[in-house]
Amino acid sequence: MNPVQIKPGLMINNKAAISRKLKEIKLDYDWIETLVTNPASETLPDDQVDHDFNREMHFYRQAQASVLESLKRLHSLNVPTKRPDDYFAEMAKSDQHMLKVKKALAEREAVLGKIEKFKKLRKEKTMAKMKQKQVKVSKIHERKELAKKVANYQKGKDKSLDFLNDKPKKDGKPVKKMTKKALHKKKVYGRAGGQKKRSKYNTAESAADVSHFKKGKPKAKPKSARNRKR
Amino acid sequence: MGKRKRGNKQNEATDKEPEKTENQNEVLFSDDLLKIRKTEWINRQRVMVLGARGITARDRHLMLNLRTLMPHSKSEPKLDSVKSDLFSDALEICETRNCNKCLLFINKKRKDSYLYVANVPNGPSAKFMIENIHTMEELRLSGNCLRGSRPLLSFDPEFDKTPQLSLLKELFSQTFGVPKHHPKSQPFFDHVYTFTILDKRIWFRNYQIVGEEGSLAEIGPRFCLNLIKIFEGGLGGPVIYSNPGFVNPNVRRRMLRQQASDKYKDKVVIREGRNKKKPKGEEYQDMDPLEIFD
Repeated sequence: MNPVQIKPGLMINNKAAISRKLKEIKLDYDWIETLVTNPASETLPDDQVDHDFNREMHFYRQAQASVLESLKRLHSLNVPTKRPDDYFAEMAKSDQHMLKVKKALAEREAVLGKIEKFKKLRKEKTMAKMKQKQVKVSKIHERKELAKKVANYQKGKDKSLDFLNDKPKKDGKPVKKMTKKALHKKKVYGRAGGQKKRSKYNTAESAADVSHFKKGKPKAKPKSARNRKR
Repeated sequence: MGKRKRGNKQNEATDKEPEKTENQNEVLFSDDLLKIRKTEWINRQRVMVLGARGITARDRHLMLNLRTLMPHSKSEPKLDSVKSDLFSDALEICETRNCNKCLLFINKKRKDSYLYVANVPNGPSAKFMIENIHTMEELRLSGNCLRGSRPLLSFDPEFDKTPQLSLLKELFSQTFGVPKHHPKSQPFFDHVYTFTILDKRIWFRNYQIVGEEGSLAEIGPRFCLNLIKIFEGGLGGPVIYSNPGFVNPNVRRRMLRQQASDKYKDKVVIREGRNKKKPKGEEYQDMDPLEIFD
């Protein structure tokens, strides 16, 4: 918005009066009485004024510079600056209010965490979808290639049928990774799903297996044990 | 090494002992402490923080925040006087309460807040418009400080460049700075005020000093002062400076309204122009515009 043009007659800048007034009220005390510092700070470009974060950082940096400067000066004057832990006094904000602040902070952080989590989930989902699409495309591609080769063979261009052996096994299902639940079931019942019927039948292999037989003669029981039994 | 150090410490302790005993003999009563404080309390600033009737809740909260942060402030109930008597009444109150500085909050139309920062009774005084008020109660501002501890004052170097700004700097440092050895003040330094000039305004911020290495947390309040005028006297008198960049809020609002109405008016004019250009009459009604090319 354009500023309104003020008539030059209405604009007042009485420099003599201003400097006279300044001289009148100026107090010539030591620095420790006033604690005023003017740290050299970078200027913020005009277009950054409406940028909240940059503006606040500008103020923060100015404050930081003057804190460092003044604390150094205070230390050199041997003035205690830091409040000891056992020094209790009334604070500007009450404990009740500070509790509220803490709670609000925790809530804000929780919300941010949630947003982060959802973002991650969404990303994973889109990635999975992309992968699925790729698999689909590659399958179609493979099928087409195969059809092409078969057609070539039928036409007599290719003479060998080797490509049929090269093709990936379709019947061999990929080994499924066992879920936690399945693992647990296997641990408890010895199997996870599948048919139980006929699962305990002997087969030729199991009948021939004698690995669990003990080697050597069975030992005779000691006398004392026999006595005890009686 | 360790042994030698210990030995040194013992020596120091024995050196210090006689001093301690002397101090012990000298019993200090709180009255004596007060006397010492009174002699060392040179910079005696007392600030009257006042609100005129009509200030909004936000203004009032800002005023109360300033009162809690300034142990050298004094309070009075809201000034309920006629417009013409407002300043003279405020001056009278300052005189009766021994105040040499005054912060006067005024609100007009319950929209525009103004602040007078005045050196009373001899002046100068400055009138500001307060913009963007955030009070200390806001939950976003997580810092805290001792009630009444002395703030470090940080001024933008811009303040030393023009006479009017250096006058304001002196005025601010005397009003907002807590005097050393003020009876209600605390002996430690845990917060800093910053006055920064940006966009031809003065921005105020209050930060807690969290660690001595320079980490800060904002305490609040936040506000932004737009200078209007500087007067020679305390709360009034001849104007010695007027800010050419300041736009009266009424004028500003009128301009915004004007802009909005101009937008509509332009639209109407354009529509009328378009209608005028459209061919009219019976001979044009059944005409196919593409016939021209045949």
